[in-house]
Amino acid sequence: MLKRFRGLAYLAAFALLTLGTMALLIVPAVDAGFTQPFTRALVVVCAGMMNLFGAGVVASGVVLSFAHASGAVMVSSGCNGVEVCILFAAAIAPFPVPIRARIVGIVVGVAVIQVLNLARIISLLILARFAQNLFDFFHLFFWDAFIMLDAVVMFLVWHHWQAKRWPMGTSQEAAS
Amino acid sequence: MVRAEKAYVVNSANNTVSVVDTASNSLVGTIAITGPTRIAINPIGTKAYISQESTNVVSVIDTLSDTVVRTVAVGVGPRGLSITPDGSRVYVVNNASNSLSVINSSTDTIIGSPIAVGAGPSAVAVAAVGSRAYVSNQTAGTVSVVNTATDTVIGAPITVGSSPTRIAVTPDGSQAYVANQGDNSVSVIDTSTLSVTTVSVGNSPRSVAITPDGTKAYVVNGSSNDVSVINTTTNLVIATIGVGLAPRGIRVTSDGAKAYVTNNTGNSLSVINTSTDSVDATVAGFAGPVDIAFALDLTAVPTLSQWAMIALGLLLAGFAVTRFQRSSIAPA
Repeated sequence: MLKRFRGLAYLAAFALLTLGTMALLIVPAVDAGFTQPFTRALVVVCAGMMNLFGAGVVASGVVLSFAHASGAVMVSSGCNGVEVCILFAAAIAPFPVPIRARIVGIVVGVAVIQVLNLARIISLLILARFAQNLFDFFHLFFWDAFIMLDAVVMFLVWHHWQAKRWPMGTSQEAAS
Repeated sequence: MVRAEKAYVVNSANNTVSVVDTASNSLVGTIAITGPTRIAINPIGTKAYISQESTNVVSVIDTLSDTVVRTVAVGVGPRGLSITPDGSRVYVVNNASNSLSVINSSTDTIIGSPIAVGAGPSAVAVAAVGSRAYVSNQTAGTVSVVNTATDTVIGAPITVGSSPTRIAVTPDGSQAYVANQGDNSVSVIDTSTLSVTTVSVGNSPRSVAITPDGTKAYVVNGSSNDVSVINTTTNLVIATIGVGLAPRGIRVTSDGAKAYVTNNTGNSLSVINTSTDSVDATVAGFAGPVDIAFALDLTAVPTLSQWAMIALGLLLAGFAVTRFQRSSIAPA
């Protein structure tokens, strides 16, 4: 009965954190002050990384395109990995482990998700230019599955790591 | 993502703009617009600006939804439009009020007062580099040069051929090509010296487009129903391509592989393969097409689909709850 209560308490916290943070993203001020600048920054970073290799890529607002050839992707809200990061962080934040373990998990997890998202956007731009027949497969199936799998695996690895580092009974910090 | 480019074809005979998928050359949409005249699309392909000569406005189309999102009042008789390379401003010539209106594309509102140019302006081309726009004054037979940094006319108008219509600037900004409808020629303006070279083309040239690599200019000849291809290095005509009846507008795709010609009385598009300089296809189903422009066929690329987000949430929550049931960890 107690274990069931613990599970329900976690689920409630997870749902509240997820829905609350997702709802914040809809607020115009948050969209204008965080989501849009962050998304545009992602596009600029993608262009910068590709141009290191002389790709001739242009960042125009939320559109990433080749300057003198066809091929472009639009990175709008929902394409910036923020929602996945929120889901991942909301799964870790209410976990009854030391606060340090939670912070490490969230920081590393969010960083990995964002790096993968950059790789995803760049790969989709390359496919849009050179292999449009593969674009749908990678966009709709491969990256969808890969990022979902990545989040789950990171969560499992984090759980395993924190359980070894802070074995049960030494997690006094959990209450902090 | 991009499938290819969407072509927006201005139909003067039935008050519409057709949307064409250039990968299949099939019609994918139709937008109702009263008296559409010319079109320009911003560099990132999210907005199309359509001048409406009979109603003195420019309509703004959101190319993601293909709907009209705003109408901007300009001068009298708006015709040609051109957009700055950064997409921030749209220049529109007002044929009957001899002026140039400037639209702020962020707000889609007019900036300042109209810029006075020569008599009967027909088209404008903003150079891809630098800060110059070139306006063909059809009645005056001249080209006005506008400094787009200050929105003022620079120097005296440049005399070109008879009845100059549309104009195009090479990607490096070094040459401007003007189609002279009245004397079957193209005037090539050296933009650094402002000297003019004349190239003879077909009958009644109406429009000109330049390939993205700047090596060729395609000139639409409205009465001889063909397209003259000019080598921009030698300024010699290197090919003539037969197209449909009464061709009016031409535009080259962003990859430079194709040029699309609007055949006004042929009610069709001729698709020219620019590597062979021959017509690859003729696309029917238009109504007096006069102009065309391209937009990247963009679709957003969400990190995860909605179903994947739900699945991920269930997986994470399910795993966590399972751990609670297997251990005696106290909740936070």
